[in-house]
Amino acid sequence: MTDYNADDARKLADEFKREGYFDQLKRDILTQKHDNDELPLEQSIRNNVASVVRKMVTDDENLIFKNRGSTSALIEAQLFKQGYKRLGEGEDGIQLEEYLNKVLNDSELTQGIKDKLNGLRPTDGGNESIQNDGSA
Amino acid sequence: MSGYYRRSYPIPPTGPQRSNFWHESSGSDYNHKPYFNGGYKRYGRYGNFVDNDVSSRNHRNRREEVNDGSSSSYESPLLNHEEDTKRPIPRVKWDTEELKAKYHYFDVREKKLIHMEEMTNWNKDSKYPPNGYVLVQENNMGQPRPVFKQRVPQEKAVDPRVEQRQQQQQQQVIPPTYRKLRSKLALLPHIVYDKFSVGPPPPNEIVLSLLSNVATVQDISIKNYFKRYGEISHFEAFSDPNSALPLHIYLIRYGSYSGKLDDAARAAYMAFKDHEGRGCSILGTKFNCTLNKNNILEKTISRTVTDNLNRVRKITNDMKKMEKRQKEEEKKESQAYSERKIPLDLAKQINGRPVLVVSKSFALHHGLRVEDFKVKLRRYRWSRILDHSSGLYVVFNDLEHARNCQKVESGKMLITSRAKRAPVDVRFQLIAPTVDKQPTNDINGNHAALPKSSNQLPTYKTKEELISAATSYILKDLENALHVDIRKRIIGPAVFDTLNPASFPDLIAKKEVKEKERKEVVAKKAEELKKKQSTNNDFDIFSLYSGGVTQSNRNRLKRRGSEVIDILPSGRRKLFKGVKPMAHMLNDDSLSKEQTPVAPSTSSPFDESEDEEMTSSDATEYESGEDDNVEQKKMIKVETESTTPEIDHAEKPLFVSKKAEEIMRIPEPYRPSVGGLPKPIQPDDTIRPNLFIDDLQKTVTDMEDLFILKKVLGLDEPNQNDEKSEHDGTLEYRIWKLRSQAQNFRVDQENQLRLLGAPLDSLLLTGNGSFKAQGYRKIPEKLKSCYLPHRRKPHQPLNTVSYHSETKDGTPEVEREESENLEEPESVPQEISSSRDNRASNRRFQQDIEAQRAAIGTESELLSLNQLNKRKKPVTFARSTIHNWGLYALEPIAAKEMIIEYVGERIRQPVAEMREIRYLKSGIGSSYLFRIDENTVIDATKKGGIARFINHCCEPSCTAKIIKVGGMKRIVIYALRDIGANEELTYDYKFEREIDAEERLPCLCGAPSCKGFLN
Repeated sequence: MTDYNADDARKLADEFKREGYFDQLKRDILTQKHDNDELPLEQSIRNNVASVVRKMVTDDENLIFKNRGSTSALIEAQLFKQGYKRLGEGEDGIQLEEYLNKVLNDSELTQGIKDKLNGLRPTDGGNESIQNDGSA
Repeated sequence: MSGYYRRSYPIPPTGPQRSNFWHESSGSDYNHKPYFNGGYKRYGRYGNFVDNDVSSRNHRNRREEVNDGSSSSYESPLLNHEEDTKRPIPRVKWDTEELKAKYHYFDVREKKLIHMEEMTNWNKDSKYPPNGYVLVQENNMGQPRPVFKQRVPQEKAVDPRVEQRQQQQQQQVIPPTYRKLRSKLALLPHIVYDKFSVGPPPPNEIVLSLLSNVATVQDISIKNYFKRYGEISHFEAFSDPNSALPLHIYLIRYGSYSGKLDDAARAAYMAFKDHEGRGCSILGTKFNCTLNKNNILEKTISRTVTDNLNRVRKITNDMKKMEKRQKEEEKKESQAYSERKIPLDLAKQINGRPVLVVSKSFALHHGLRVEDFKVKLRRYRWSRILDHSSGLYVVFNDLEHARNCQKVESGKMLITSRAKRAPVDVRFQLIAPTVDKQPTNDINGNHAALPKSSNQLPTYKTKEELISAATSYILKDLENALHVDIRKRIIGPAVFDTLNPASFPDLIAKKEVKEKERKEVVAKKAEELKKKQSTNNDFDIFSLYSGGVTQSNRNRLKRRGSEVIDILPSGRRKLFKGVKPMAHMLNDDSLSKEQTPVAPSTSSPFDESEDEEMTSSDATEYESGEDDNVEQKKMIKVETESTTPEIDHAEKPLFVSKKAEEIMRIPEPYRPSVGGLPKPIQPDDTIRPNLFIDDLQKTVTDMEDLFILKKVLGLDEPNQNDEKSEHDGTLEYRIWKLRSQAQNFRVDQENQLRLLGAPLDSLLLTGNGSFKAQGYRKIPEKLKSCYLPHRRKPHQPLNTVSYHSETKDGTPEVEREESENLEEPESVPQEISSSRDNRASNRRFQQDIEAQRAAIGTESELLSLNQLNKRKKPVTFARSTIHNWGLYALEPIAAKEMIIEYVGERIRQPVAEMREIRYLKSGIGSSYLFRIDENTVIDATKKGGIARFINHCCEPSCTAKIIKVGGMKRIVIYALRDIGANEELTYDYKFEREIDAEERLPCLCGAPSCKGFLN
């Protein structure tokens, strides 16, 4: 069998994750500086959320006197809706969805992953894929 | 005399010859009577003397004989009657001391009855016939009546039945039989088999053979069953020699361990007898039980073996037939089902896995259900069983399992048919998964699921394609992960944090204001309500008490000035400021939060205006209402005034005359006083322990003092002046130094007092100079209380807990608010339940839990409930004055209430000893080991509750009791007396008394009755 089937790709992806590259990527994206912002993405999202919530509270004071857990869950769901629409509102809002798309479709990132995957293969021992590799 | 007799020197001492031999000298007629009786005598087998005359054994004859030979002086009362009826005269054969005791009614020597005097004739008045009587039933007027009838001894006895029978025979009636018909010979009584017995021993074995056809009884239960009859010496179970299968024939042999040979036989017989005829049933299996005689065991075994052989032959025949038939059927079936396939609608569920199929028609015919198969196939690793219109499909994950299952079970597995009510064997057909089938399925199948799945599994030609595919996977996952992370880890917590009320202080303040307003309104309402009540009821408890105080103050006012009435309104208010009724205090609090409740003290009249501001309109209303009360009380007071002693009178000057005026002109301390001895005018400071220079100077107030001082010191004025002039230069400095020293000391002491509430112990002041200069030294625990803040105030109600809470918020606002809430009329009255009720409900709860636990049926600790926890009182630990930490009550605790359980590891005594040593080594000075009993100790050192912080006190407030909860001994601390809030809890450790002085632990409890040592 010279062909690779879909399982091999899955296995490869799992191996990638197992090596910790996946989490590293994730962390990198979350901590890298946002466009023209000074702060990392994570922090800017946080600030944004805080301002939105504060605005909400000023609109409706009762929010802070209600059950904190359930209220925050509701607000969280609201913010998450429609591709972080609420976070994009206002003058200094973050277009999070757009930004993420941009980051993910970055050719550099894809290339980096590919490189890592290439580097991963030889170290991958005892797997079916390596056997296939040998025959190929 | 035969030689035998002569030789019989050591003859067993029985019979008359013994007495002959022993008591030859004391021989009497009686002794030798037998010798002269018959013509000759002979000796029996055992050397017993037997009279030749056989009839001599006859009682009557012997009596006659006695009468003949004896010239008895004794005459029985019956002697005057016939000879026959005479009471037999006792015959003395052996006149020995030993035997005399046996004749308790007859004196052998004197030959007379001992109780002669006490005996009376039974028939003195000849009421009865002299020969005695019998009671006879006579038919008197149809009713049976007992009648006396004279006894006639000469008359011969007649069998009444004979006469009856004769009568009946005459009347041709078949006589009734008086004996039961015996079908067999009467059984001989059981003759005990012993070592002397001849012949075969009785059977001591029983044989059990199966009566019912299934035997699931184990040997041991059979053994146990038959053990009750006796000791089993041998137990044997027989098995078929052909097949080695158990025949269920058992041999049980009883042994006789007590030494009696008969025991075994008796036990076997009893076992047999108990089960004779009905068989014995052991754990539901019936056995036939017989005694093992006449080779019954061999017979049974051979019979069963042949039976089994026959059966086996039959079964093998049947099986051969079955196999033949089966093969034919299989042929047919294979023809019929050869092209059996997985139906398309099941294809997705089966998903290319191996399947065993049972045809639907078969299942329907026998009414078989999926559940039946699930039960029967429970030992196989099938993944699911599907019911389909075409059949029942048993889906396996592994082909091997399916094959195995088919091989073992197909055609052999029996399921009870619901239609036939008999087990039928089920045949499975295997449909192995076909790998290359899927594409074909794919091609001709119009099913949605299958094509999709096959599309999802593309193949990659090159490595690059593979990597790019993997990358796309990763990117997709990454996107998902990012979204999840952003939502859960960033937005979520951010929202939660921002919602923190603390970050909106303005809003909170607003809310508080609102809340306050609301409370005010409520308070007003409450006040109004109360006011109404108070006006209605003059004898309000509050006004009664407070009224008394105000009244006494007012009386003094009245005496001081005459213009009472003018002052009254303002004066009254002034008084109220200081000593307020409780109700008033509450009002003030609700109106002004800033003001803390002041201690009752007469404040200055100048802050009246402030007071005015604080009282709202309705407060004045209230006061006007209060006015009436006061007026009324004043009236009462005036009436009772004469009876109360006037303290003020005593303070008045005693003298009113002119001379008195003269005396009054003298400054107060120098005035003459009444009394025999002159009193010192100035207070004497000189006795104080450390007298400083300024104290001395103060003491010397006038010339007289100076004179006395000089006299005491023995100083002469002229000489001293000269000497003093020499030292004049340094004198002033020295005086200054002494003064400043004194001043410093005083300031120190004052600070110390203010800070710690106790003066520094003199022992700590030994050295002069800095503490540091004295180096390291051990300070006794007792002295530490002088300078360690948390050790101050021993044995007053301690405040350590509230000390912390008060520093947190300056005023005890929380408490106040709570008290307010209590006053609210709208607040629902709290249901106050007693601790007893609580415990009852707790117990109910516990039972519920236990029932649930029983229902769940697990031994899990999850539902185990510590019922003692429910009764626990709110306590906390804080630094203690007694020893490091202490436990404090947060709320008042009533006496005898349970406070807390002493929780810890339950360890054995040796472990406790070991641990104690280890703790000491590792520097854990405090002991948290609590002994429950001699072998159990609770160790709270590493794992335990806060009860371990309770300190020892010689006058304890609590006591530790060991109670049993659910069979477990536990330590529970109970209150001995009522305990106030924030009071330290203590109990008596009750350590064993230690004799070695070094081992003794000093007690620092500081109680008045402190023993000084813990042990």
